This record gives sequence, C-alpha cells and structure tokens, in this order.
Amino acid sequence: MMIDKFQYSLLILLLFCGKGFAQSQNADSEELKLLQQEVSQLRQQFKEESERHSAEMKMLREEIELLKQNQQASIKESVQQATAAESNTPSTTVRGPETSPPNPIAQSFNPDISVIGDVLFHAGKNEENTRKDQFSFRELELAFGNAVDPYGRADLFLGIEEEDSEWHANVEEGYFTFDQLPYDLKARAGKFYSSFGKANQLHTHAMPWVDKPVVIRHFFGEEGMSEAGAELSWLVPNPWNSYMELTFQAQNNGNEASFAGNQSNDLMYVSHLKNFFEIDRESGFELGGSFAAGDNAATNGGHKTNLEGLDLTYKWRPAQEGSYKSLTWMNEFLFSQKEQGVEDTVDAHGFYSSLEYQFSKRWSVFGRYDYSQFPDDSDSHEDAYSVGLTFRQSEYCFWRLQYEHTEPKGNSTTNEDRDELFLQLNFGLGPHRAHQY
Amino acid sequence: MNIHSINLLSRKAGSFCLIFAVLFVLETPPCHAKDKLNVVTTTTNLESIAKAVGGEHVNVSALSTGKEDPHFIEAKPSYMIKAKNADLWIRIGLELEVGYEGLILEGSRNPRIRIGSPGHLDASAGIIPLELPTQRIDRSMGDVHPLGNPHYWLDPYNGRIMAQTIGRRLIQLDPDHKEDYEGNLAAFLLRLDRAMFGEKLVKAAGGEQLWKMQLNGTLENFIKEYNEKVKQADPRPEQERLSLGGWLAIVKPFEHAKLVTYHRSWIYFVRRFNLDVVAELEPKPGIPPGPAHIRDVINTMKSEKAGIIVMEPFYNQLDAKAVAEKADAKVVLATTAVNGQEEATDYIALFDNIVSRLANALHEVSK
Repeated sequence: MMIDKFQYSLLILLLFCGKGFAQSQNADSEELKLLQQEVSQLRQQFKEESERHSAEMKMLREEIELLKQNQQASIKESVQQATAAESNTPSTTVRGPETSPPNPIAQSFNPDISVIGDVLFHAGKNEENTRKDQFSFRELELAFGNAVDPYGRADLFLGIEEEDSEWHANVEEGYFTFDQLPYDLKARAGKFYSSFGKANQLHTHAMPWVDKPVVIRHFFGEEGMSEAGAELSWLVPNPWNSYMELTFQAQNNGNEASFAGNQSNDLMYVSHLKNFFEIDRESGFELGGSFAAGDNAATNGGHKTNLEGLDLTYKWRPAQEGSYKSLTWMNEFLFSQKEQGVEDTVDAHGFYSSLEYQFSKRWSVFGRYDYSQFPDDSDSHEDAYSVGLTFRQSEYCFWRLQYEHTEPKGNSTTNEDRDELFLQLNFGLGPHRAHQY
Repeated sequence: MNIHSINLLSRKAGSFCLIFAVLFVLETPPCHAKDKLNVVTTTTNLESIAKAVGGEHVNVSALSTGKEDPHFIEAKPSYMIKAKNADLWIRIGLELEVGYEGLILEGSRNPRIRIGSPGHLDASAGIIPLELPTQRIDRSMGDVHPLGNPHYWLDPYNGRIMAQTIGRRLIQLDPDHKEDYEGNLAAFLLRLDRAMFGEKLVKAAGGEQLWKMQLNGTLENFIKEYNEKVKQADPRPEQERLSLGGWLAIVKPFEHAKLVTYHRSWIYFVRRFNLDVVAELEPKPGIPPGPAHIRDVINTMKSEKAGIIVMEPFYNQLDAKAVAEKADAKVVLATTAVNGQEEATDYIALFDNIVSRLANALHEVSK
C-alpha cells in the first residue's frame, strides 16, 4: 500500500510540473487539452490498478485466515486423536483445562493396604535363648490406612509374630487421627507408640538396625512402649519460624519394664517436645525432650516411675548426590527413677549413639554403641557394640547384615559376653506410606 | 558425676521442656504480611512459573533447590513449616510427589492447602499425560507411575498450560489483582512463544496459532506457503519472509537425532523437538543399571548410531561416562529443573540451557 501511495504522489507531482509547463507555454491550448485528457486517463488507469491491487491483498488475507481456521480444526481433531490414543479413553472425554487427569485406578473406598515381611537368620550365643541359631519369620506386619471421613483418618498396624511356636496377632498400633482441628492442633485416639524419643516409635521396617537399641529394650521391652490412650499435639508458633511440636499423651500404664505391666489399672502421661533446625538446605538437626510419669504398681498412689529422655539427630543429604550419599547421626539418652518401695528408688539410665553412612545408591554402613542399666537394677548394665551393612535392593526391599557384641556387667549378672550375627531380609507389598523424616 | 546428680539434672531437663513450651504459648505468633499470597511449590520449575504469573502480588518458594532428584525429596519438618504458612500449594502431580507430599501436608496442619481445597493446585490439570499404563502395572516394572509419566514440564507447550492453570487459580484466590495476573500471564506466554518460535513468527501469526500448527505438524508448511504468497504479492522485500526461529530453529538441524537418556524423564521434550530416544541407562524406571544392561545399551548405541547420552546431573555420572567411552558417545549433563545448573535461572532459561547444550553436543558428534 505504501508503494501505491508513493506512485500516486509521484504522479501528482508530475502533473503539477506539467501544469506549470503548460501555463508557461500557454500557446498551444489544443496540446494542453490532449495532455489533460491523457492525465485523466492515466489517473483512471492508476485508480483501477490500485483497486485491483487492494482486492488482491484482501483475498490473500482471507486465504490465510481460512488456512488458519482449517489448521485449528485439524489441530483440535489431532489433539483429540492423540488424547484418545494416549489415554485409551474415548475421544469424547477430552479434558478441559481445569479437570484432573483421568484416573485409571478404579475408585474404591478400600484403604491403602501394605504387607511387610521380615525374615531373620541369627547365629551366636544368646543366654536367654530367645534367639536360636536358625531362621525365623520375625514379623509379618499388615498396615491399613486411609481417610475415614472429612474429619480424620485411621491407621492400623497388625503384627503377626511367632511366640513359643504359636502365631499371635498383635495390634502394634491402631488409631484415629483428627487431622482437621483448628489452631494447629492434632489429636489421636487408639493404641500407639509413646512419643518418647525417636527409636521407640520406629516400626521394624523403618529401623536403621536389625534390633532396637539396648536402652529401648531394657526400659520399654522388646516390642517398645505402645499402649492404648489419647494424644493431643500442637505446632508451637515461635519467633524463628522453626518446627516445634509439643505432644501430650495419656496412655495406660501397662508397660512391663518401666510401669505396672499386668497390674495396670491407671494411666501414665507422656510429653514430648520436638524441634527441628535446618542448618542449610542439605543438613539439619532434631532436638527432642521427653518426659513420662505413671504408677509402676497396682498400689494406688504409691510407686511412681519418672522417665526423662533427650534425643539429638543430625542428618546430612547433599542436594545433587542425594540418592547416592547421606549421613545420619542419632543419639538418645534416657533417665529413669523407679520407686520400688518407700524410700527406695532405682535411678537408672542408658543411651545409644548410632551413625549411618550411605555411600552409594543402594549401600550403607552403620555402627551403634549402646550403654544401658536396667530399670530395676542400676548396679548392672550392658555395653553393646554393633556394626552392619545394609543393601537396599529397591525402595521396597532391603537386606541387612549386623554383628553385635554385648558385654553384661555388674554384680547381679553372671553372664558372659555375647557375640551375635544377624542377617535380615525385609520386603514390603503395597503402597506403604513414606517414612517420617 | 554421680548418678544422683544426673538424675537431678534430668528432672530439671524434663521440667525445662515444659517451661519452654509454656513460654511459647504466651508468645504471640509471628504475623504474616497478608497483602501478598504465600505460594509454596514442590519444584523450582513451578516456582519459576508461579513467580512470573504472580509477579509482585505473591511470595513464592519451592521445597526443592532444583539440584535434587524430584522423586526423592524428604518430608523435612522445615518443609511442613513452609507449608503451614502457605495460601497456595502447587504440585507437579501424576504422583511425582507421592513419597513426601502427604506427610508434609498433614504435618503442616494447614487447612487452606488440603487436597481438594482452592489452596491446593495440581499443575498437571489440563495437560495430556504420556505413557499412561494400558495394562495392569506392578513393581516388577520398576517405579512406573500409574497416572502417566510425570516429567511433562519438559514440553514448553505444557509450560503454557501450567502457567494458564496457575494464573486462573491466582485470580480465583486473589480476584482484586485479576488484571495484573492476566497481564503477567500474557507477558510470560509471549516470552515463551518468542523463545520457542522466534520473534518474527510470533509477530506474524501469534503464539496460539503457532502452537496449534506446531501440534498439528503444519508449521513448516505454513511458513512455506506464507513466504510464497508474500513473494507473489510483492516480489521485492526479503525481510518480510518468515523463517523458523528460537529453540525450534536451534534443534531443527538435528531432527530425529538418536539419544540415550538415563531416566525416562525426557519423553515430553524429545516428542516436542523431534528427537528419538533409543535406550535408557536405567533398565527399568528407578532401577540402577547392571553390567548386562550396560552392555545392551552400548550395543544399541553402536547399532543405532546414537552419539549422545542426556542425563540430569543428579544421576550417577560414572555409569554414563563408562558407556559413553565404550560407545564413542558424548555425555550431556542437562538439568530438568530451574536452578539445577547455573544457566537455568528460570523456566525459559531452562530450555535455553537444554537446547544449547544438546545442540552443541549434537553438532560435535555429527562432525
């Protein structure tokens, strides 16, 4: 179009020049007339030309527009075809932008079900003869969990274990969680592990060792402390905006080792404060304080047990090589004051320190030092040294080899040192929920 | 220190815990600046897009740094605190975050970002997932995702859809700034389209049309016909003619080049840019390669004449280097996440980085 205008103005300019020329001559009017005619012809011609030109451009534009429209239509079609091919759904179900992806899993209201098996081979001297030099299917854990209704979820963990050649099913944990409470509160009711420290709450498959630390076994029993009760926890606001969780639990005082065992007819109270500090994006540490108190015998009002605990865990996992390297240093201290009678309180304590280093995608090594007295006997204690190797075949299956050397010491124990070797195979079916950090 | 004093100490420690806690009950919670929306995203790619669309009206932070494997982020308590203060939680979805999202959302105790609430956004809404299982899957197949391959952000077209999805949700949560969000979204889409097709093409046909033609495979035809029409209409100006620009132009010379990748995370990318993946170093998704599979990959690379191994820097580079040496190939480390490499400063720079690294390597190999 620009060009048309340019030509047009050129013509007008020429015209004016011609006019001037004609005026200056002013002699031959015949010639002038002829010239004028010629000019008007030219004008007409040019007008026609430019009209044709613009019509042509218009046609071109329309053609392009049509092309675009055709393409749009065929794109729609091809997208539909692609959707149909890729999702194996009929093309009528092409999704709008805000709908969620088609779920190929049939919607059912079945809970998530996981089954975890734990096979153990044990070799070595064990004075209590609880572990023979043979294979054992140590535990079969069944885990069920899902939302119950809009107000909370339920989780059940059944442990099936062999005891004196008979199989028993225990409710390891089973609780309802009210996870929709206001003010950053959360509540649980049912049977659950006491929030005392860290190791007590670990299920077999989540432990970094074959067995629980000695201090946990001595003060809470082989199975750990899990009792029926209720819990309220709160995320504590704080000026550093760091993770601080305060938990109160009221549970039956049915623990054999530190509380009343079979004679339980009362409650014990557990409180736990969990802090997490991030050092940087790759490392952080957790500091926890625990306190538990309750009667340790059926006699009302008398014979109390107080337990205090302190746990410190440091974790490092590099960002880029996080699948191949990590380090966890876990420490727990436990102090117990168990009243045996009037003016007779046993003050006992124990601790462990465990270091685990992952050096490749599947392999990690660990070492643990245990020291623990007994809740009823502070004059005796056990020292234990463990080292081991874990091979994580996949996310759902691992092998673990552990050597443990235990030295019982004190006047009431006459036992000799023990050397034990464990080979563990742990495998899981189903979605089992991700582990807590 | 005798046992009695330890005991005394421990009693004190116990009560200290309680006093500590009570003190914080009295402490007033920190007040948040409510004029901006707090957005927490799982990955840095989402963070980058949300920042671009949200602009000055949002505070965006991601859980990951961009350097880690997005499948294996841990549910750190510090992430729960981040999520606790969030008004909007954005995830990639398709079960990429299945290993940690639930624990973080639950641990955050934040009702605003519960799944199903307006504050919880699945960015995969609206994209067409690839590799949806068409048969019953189980774990013998490795880490297969039942909802389809979750690495969809590696297609810039999906990036557009993600930005639009995020934009709509921001407007829903903060309607007062609707116009700003719309403006930011348009600006982001324009930037993305220009980077993909080149400025000239976008100016001539508009981003929407270009994408439609690209999806349809008619883009090149369009350019050809357009140029012919221009030529017929007016033979003079060479500069009026169109040509492919942007990332498409950079990758174009290597169309259907054969690649090996570490993980099946590149399928969206190679589909968009017309490249072919002939093998993965992982025998099955999430399973590290063994010697037999490595031999197979080397043979495949030789027979298929695949000269490039593309992988994210967080995977084992030793395996890749060993294979590359035997197969006479090059290893290209290219991050699939914003901030995963220095050059990948945002979602658009992420593709700049991938495209240039790939093109350089392909150029060298083709010599």
